[in-house]
Amino acid sequence: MARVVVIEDDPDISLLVAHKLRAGGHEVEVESDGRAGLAAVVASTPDLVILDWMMPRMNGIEVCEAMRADLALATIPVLMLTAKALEVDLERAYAVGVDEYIQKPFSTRELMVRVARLLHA
Amino acid sequence: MPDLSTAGAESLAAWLLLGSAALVAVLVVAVLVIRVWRWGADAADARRATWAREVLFRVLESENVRAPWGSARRRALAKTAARLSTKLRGADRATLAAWLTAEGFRRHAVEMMHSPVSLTRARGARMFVACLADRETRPLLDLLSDRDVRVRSAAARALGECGIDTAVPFLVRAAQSDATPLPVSVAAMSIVHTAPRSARSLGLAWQSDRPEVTAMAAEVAGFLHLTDARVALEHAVAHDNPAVVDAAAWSLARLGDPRSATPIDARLRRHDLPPLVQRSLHGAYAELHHVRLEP
Repeated sequence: MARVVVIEDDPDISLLVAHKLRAGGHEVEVESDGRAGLAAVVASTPDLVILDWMMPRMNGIEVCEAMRADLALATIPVLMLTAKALEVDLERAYAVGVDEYIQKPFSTRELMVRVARLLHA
Repeated sequence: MPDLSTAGAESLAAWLLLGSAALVAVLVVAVLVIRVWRWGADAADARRATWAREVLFRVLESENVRAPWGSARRRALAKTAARLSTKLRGADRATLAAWLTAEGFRRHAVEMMHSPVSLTRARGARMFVACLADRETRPLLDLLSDRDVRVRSAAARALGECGIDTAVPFLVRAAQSDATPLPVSVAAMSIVHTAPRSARSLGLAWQSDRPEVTAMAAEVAGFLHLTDARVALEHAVAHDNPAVVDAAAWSLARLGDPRSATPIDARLRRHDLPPLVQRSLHGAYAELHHVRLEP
C-alpha cells in the first residue's frame, strides 16, 4: 500500500482517481489547489504525487519545481495529469522534473498502469 | 380652528411612510426566502451530483447498476455523465457510453435533439456525446446547421469533445455558411479540441469568401503546429485582409521554417498594411531569421 497525494481542481477527476487508487489498496489524500497540495506533500512526504497543471493559486509546474528544489521531496515521483497536449508542454513538464505525463481525456487503466510503474521503480 | 389641509397631508404622508416600510419589509422577506430556497436547491444539487458520481464510478467498475426513474436523480445522472464522459477515453468511455445507451439516456438525448426548444436541443447534443463510444456523429453534424446559433455552438463543442478530426471539414463549412453560420471562435476551439494531425482537413478554409474563416484556419494551424500548412500560410501572407495576414505571420513564426521568410519579406515591401500588421510581419521575419529588431 502506498500513500498518494492527488492535486487536482476538478472534483470529477480527483474523486475518480482517488476512487481508483483506494480500490487498488492505496491511501489517498486529495487537494484542490497547488498551494494546499504542496503543503500536503510537505506534511506527509507521500510515495507518489498525481498533479494537474492548470490550477488556482499555484500551478502544477510550480508545485513540481518547488518539490524538486526541496531535498526531502526531490525524489518523490510525480505523475502529471493535464489537458495540455502540445509538444512544448510535454517538454516543459519533463524539464521541471515530472516523471510521467498523461493527457486528458484519460484512461483510468493507463493511469493505474503508470502509477504501478512509478511505485515499483 | 385646525388647518384641515395640513392634517390631511400629514395623514397621507404617514400612510405613505407605512406603505413604503411594509413594501421594504416584504422585499427583504422575499429576498431572504429566495436565498434560502436557492441555498437549499444548490445543496440538493450538490448531494445529487455526489450520488451520481458514486453511481457512475460503480458503472466504470463494470458493476451491474440500474438508473433510477425519478426525474431529479435521473437528470443529475445525465448531467454528471455528460461532464464525466468528456474527461475519459478508451475502455472507460466505452463502458460509460454502453451503460447510458442501455439505460435509455441515448434515446432520450436524440428526442431532445429534435425538440422545438433550442436549449433542450443544445442539452440533448451534450448528452448525446456522452453516449458516444462508436463515433457515430451524424446527428451532431446535422445540428451544425440548426436554426439556433446556441444549438449549432453546442453541437460544435460536442464534436470537439469527441476528438474526431474527421469533423473538421464540417466545422469549417459550418463557419463559412451564409444562412446558419457557426461563430468562428466556436469553430476554432472545436477544431483545436479535435486536434487534427494534418492541415489537409482545413482545406476549404484557405479559399473561403469569409476572411475571418481563413484567419481562423491560419491561427489554428499555427497553434497546433501543423507543419504541412506552411505553403497555405505563405499564400495567406499575401491575402488582402489584414487579419488573415496577421494570423498567417504569427503561425509561420510558430512553425519556424526559415523558407517562410521570403514571402513575408515580399509582403513587407508592399507597404499597404496597417502598422500593427506590419509589426507582426516584422516580428515573424525576425523570428525566422533570429534577428533582434530595434523597438
